[in-house]
Amino acid sequence: MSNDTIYIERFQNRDETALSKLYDMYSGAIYGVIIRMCRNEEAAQEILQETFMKAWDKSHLYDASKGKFYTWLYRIARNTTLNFLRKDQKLIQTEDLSVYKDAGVEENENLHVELKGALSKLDEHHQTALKLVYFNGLTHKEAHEEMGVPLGTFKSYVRQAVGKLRDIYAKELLVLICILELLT
Amino acid sequence: MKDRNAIIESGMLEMYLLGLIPDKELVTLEKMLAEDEILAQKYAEIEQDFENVSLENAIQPPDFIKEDLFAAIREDYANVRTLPEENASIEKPVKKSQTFMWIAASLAAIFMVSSLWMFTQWDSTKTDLQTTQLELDNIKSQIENLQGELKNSQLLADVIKDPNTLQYALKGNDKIPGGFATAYINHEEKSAIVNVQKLPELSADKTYQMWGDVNGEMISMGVIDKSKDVVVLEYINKATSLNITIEPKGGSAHATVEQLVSNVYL
Repeated sequence: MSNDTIYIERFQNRDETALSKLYDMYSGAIYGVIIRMCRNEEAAQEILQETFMKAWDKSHLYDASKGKFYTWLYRIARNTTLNFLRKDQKLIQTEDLSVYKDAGVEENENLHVELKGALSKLDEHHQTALKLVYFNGLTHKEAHEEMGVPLGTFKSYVRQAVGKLRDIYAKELLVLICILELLT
Repeated sequence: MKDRNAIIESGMLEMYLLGLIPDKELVTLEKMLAEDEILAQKYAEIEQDFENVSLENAIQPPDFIKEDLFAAIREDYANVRTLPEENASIEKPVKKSQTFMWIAASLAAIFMVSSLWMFTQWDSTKTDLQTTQLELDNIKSQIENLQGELKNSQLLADVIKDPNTLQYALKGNDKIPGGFATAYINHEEKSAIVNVQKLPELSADKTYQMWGDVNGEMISMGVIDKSKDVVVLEYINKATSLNITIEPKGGSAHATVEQLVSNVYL
């Protein structure tokens, strides 16, 4: 049984130490997603806290046989952020900007949210496609309109991008194995 | 229900990961994932890759979020269980984890240094290999040249040794003062060889060409390749003289008699 599995089981038994450990492991990754989705530092901090609160509250609903813990956490973060953005949009639409400002929420376009790692090595259209659905929380329908390409083309972009990510990570793993082989 | 490939190709796995699959399809897809190992493996890979992407793009949140989170949890959930033995173990893992952190950091440092060293070695080996390859190519080319020269020398030696071979000296006229060629004709073997070592070099757009005179008509024996010392030419039956002319590069169909530089009667 891996350390992750032990922590997750303890987390489901409402063990704070396990929560602390899982927070340390995944908060950076989740915060990276949230801040790119809402582009608002203060709101992102609140949403991150809410995400972990929800995960803690609904920990019994996590089923390891259906996927990774991180994916489950990502979906909570995504939905929580989208709910925030919808509410935020409503406030703007009703021009009740005083509430918006009172909440201390200010958009910050200078956040350092450029993409790194394998994703940044993809072709620009592949990068954009994944960014829109994964980091901006758009549905495929919204994203293809945003990119200005037909839905079928957009879906192909996502499929190709996922395939290319697989190639990059598989190559990196192979290089690591070779280096370790040489070192031993 | 779609088959495995159709599911993979349709991008349903990515949509499932993002939580975008409609409820009516969700149950069927989850059932398939539970029953089809290959499909489950494919989904696990996509999950892992997306997790890697997130970790590579992680942004460290401020420390106070974690403090706020625990404060909120303690406030909201009175039933949070913090067992005494786990309390005691909280301190120890911190110390332990610090030790592990140091060990991990040291291992990472060793790994980095050794990787750098290996990279340097690899780079230097690569350069050495390229140099060796160049030298090898050079040697190969020299061997080929030597083999060519040896073949020519052997050919010349064989022709000269043959008692039926007749030797003709072709002295250059005033167009190539000092120029000289030696032709070896064997009427029995019907072979013609010429040593052109002493013919002067021509400009790149010109070449020497040898002709046999048969009843007043110049028949080409071939273009003289000046990169070789000994050139094998076509034997012309019943030729009464051998002639060398200067022709445009590639040779001519008819001899340019004004450019005759040497001739000898057989």
